[in-house]
Amino acid sequence: MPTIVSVDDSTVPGEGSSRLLLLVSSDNKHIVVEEDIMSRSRFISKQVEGFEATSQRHAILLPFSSFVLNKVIEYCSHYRGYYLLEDDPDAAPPGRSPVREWDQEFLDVDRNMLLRIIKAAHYLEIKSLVGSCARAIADMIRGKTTEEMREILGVENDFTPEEEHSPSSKCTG
Amino acid sequence: MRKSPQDISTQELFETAQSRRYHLTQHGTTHGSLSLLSLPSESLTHITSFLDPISLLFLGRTSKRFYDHVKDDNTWHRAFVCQVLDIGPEKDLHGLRSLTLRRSESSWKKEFISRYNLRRRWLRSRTPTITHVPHYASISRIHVLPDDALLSSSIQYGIVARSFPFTGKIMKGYLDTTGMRHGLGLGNPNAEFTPDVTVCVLASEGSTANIIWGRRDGSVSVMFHPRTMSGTRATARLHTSTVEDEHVGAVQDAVWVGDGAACLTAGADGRIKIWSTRRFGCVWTSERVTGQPVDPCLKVVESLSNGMLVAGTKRGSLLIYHGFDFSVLHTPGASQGTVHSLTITPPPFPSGSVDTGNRGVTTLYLDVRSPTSASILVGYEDDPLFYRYTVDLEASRVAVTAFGDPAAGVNNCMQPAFSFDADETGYIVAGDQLGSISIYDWEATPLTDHPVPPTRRVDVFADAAIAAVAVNTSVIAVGSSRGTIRVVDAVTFDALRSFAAPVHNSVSQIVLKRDTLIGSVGSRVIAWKAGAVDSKGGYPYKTKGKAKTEGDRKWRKQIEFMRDIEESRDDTKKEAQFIRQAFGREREQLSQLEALGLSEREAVEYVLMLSRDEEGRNHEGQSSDTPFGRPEEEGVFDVDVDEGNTSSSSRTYASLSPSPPSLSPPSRPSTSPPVSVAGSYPRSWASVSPPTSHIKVQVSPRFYPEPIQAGGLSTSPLNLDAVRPVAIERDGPQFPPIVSSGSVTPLWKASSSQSSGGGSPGSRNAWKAPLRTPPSTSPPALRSSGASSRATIPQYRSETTSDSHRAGADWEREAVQISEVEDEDLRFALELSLAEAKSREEKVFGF
Repeated sequence: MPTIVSVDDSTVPGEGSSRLLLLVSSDNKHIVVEEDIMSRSRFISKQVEGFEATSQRHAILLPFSSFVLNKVIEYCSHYRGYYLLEDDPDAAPPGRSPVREWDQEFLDVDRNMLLRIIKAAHYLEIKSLVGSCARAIADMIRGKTTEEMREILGVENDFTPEEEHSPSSKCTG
Repeated sequence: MRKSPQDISTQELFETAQSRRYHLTQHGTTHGSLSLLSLPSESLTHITSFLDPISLLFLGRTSKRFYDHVKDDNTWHRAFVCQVLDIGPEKDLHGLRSLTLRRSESSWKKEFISRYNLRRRWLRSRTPTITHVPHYASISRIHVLPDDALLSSSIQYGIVARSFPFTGKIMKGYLDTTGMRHGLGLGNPNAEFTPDVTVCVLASEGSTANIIWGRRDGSVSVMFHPRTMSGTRATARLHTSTVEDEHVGAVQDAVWVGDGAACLTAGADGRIKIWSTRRFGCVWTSERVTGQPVDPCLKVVESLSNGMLVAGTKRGSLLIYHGFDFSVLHTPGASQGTVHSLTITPPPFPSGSVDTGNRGVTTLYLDVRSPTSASILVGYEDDPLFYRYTVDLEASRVAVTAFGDPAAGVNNCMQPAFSFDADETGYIVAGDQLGSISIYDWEATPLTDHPVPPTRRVDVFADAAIAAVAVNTSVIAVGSSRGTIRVVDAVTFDALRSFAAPVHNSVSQIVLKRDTLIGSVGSRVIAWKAGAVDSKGGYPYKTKGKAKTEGDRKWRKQIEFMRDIEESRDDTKKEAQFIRQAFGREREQLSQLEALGLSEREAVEYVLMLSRDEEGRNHEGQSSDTPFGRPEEEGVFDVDVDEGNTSSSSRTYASLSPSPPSLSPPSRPSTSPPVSVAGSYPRSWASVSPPTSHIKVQVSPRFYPEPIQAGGLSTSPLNLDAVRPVAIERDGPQFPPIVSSGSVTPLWKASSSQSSGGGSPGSRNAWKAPLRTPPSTSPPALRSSGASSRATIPQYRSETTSDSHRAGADWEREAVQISEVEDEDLRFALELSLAEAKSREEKVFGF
């Protein structure tokens, strides 16, 4: 079980402008980040609001490994202070904007990692990261055959032979 | 584990994680394979919204969970919205983007698949474009029959050709209204044609071609040609109006009503007539407004099933007639009950654009919602805006809404896509002169007085105006004024295809079917059908971008090349026009000068000379002892312009300038075939011309080196004798004005100290100053064409008439003055030679 650490404002070193958060990963790594980096995550924002209500700050326990968490923090700190259209729930539908170059490089990881990142992003409610990951995954499986897709996605064929050859799932395109 | 008060919150955290169906163990591992199945369904939808239909279908076959996911129409809806409408996967359908969306399928899955396939076929099909020429006149209208047969009419010849655009086969014979053998003729449009056709409206009912012919004399014919494409056996039924029924002016527009049971015509007499075609005859004629001049009808549209028709006139009025009983249309005798009429006057011309005074209705469409209300789309000539009149027939109330962007110029063509479904919104596609199409929301309600702006504007052609627009549920086809046709996706406005112009004519009409395009350009018809896209290995889009560019690269290059040529041609034309305007004045002046026998330079010199002349005279008056104190003035003094050949001008000259031997730069080409004598004076030549009115001797010293070599005599044989004495007389070094820059012969240099190096700034000889021509200009040309040398040859002139005596006296007086100046030797020599010339003139012109 991860260690729970209480983080008090007074005990936290650093500038007063940005408070620090302690994030605890599932492999019990403690990561201290500035609060405004993680403000992109609506999950953490909500947690912080909760802290303010109880005037007590806690570590935020996250259900994924420090490896993934570091990656997410890397993403958040890269876009620190940026406005991303996808994060804005009130924004007009975005045009067919190309994938940001940095995102493309950032997400140039193996499939497992990509799936973990999208899960983490979903958990943390970072819409822009979910979108970028979804695109990356879609790019991975686009144009592949069923067998290739199974391999990429780590999905097992759970169809019975009759089902598999039923015309309802046939490609009509 | 440390027990702490925070345990409760920790527990909450874990519970949150649990409730999200996450398992710490699963996330805690960094090794082992992860499955997409573990993702929450929202994320899965997010991912699949980026997938194309084929990938989605394949994904649905991977496992049961994905099968269920793909089976859900919401998945398809999201994918459709994201990829086709270009709206983020988590956003709702937005009104603006889906304005042009017309659903043709029941489910989003089917819709997406059919659209995807169609788009792919438009984009990537390699079927060739077939061009054929149905008849040799320009095509006015085309109509597509079932089985991809085509009727194409020519108003110029008054014929309708029948052809198969996808094979290029043309049926023998044309349909026309003269003669008995319609469509059975030889196929020579010069032998078979209907004269004076102003309107030819094509329609079809099954395989029967229905044609309305309207003529300049106001008569109307309808023709039914059954099995029109089946060969030559069938004869056409032709009905022509009786004299009492026909229009008083030319027929301007006609439309078929329903499936050929009736038709409508509008004439230049301002009347609209309804014709029954069962027993052909006019069943209704609109009453003309009395007490007003005739306002010809230009356009007519109908919705007689709703008892309504609308006509637009040349002065911009809209005539609305409603209350028709459609069922009694077919019986010629039956009366039409009460037909109400309503007239709408045109709106004022929008401010900011040029009011040309033309308010003729050019575009008229009718969108009938109910028998009592209708929206009318009207475009006027030269008006950048178009208007929507929402008419409430019961209350006779009309609401006007203006659409358009005045900055984009006049809309050349408009194509409405009215809605037939409550879910859809009607939209208007308008093509403007700048080569872009604008999409307008037809049901927009303006919040301000300003015209409704387009919701979307897409540049289609960079180099041409838009001439034709056609719309179907999936694509919009746009034809340019240069004959190019482009197809864009109706929803995403991506460019799908471009058809090169068969001829550089304006596209007159485009007919779009689901996957075919037929367009008429000039006298040609191009036809294209989206064939099946051969899928390589089942995944054609693997090489999507690549194949696309490779496929058209060569073709496109050619098109672009042609376009560039066209463009530069246009540019040249425009430039030429500009130059013509800008320099027309100058050229006019020059041509006037030409008529006077002056070059521009000479004219300037003449003016200068006159002014200097004056100045010189003033100078002379002030200090009589040194009248030519300044060599420049002296030189100018000697330059004169021979304005013409008449004695009057000579006299004027004589009285104007008392200067002795006048140098007249322009000689008359008609009268002075110059003679060049180059024997002893390589750079000098004398021109003696026998004028018609006076007898003159013109001696023209050259100011540039004569390329004729020393020793060679280049003379024109006629006047050789006349000149030679002059030449001989000038056997000295005393002829300064002919010294030219640079290439002075040793003879001159040696003997004439003043004039050596004639071009040197220190030279006081002003003779050569205004008239020197650089030696390099064109001496050979001058030599070869003696007449043209007038421009640069000053001439000495003497006259034999009484004028000449007076002039001679003047010369003597001037000679005295000249002798006082520095180069008096030279002057003297000149005088001598002139005197010699004078003494010989009888001899010269005596023959």
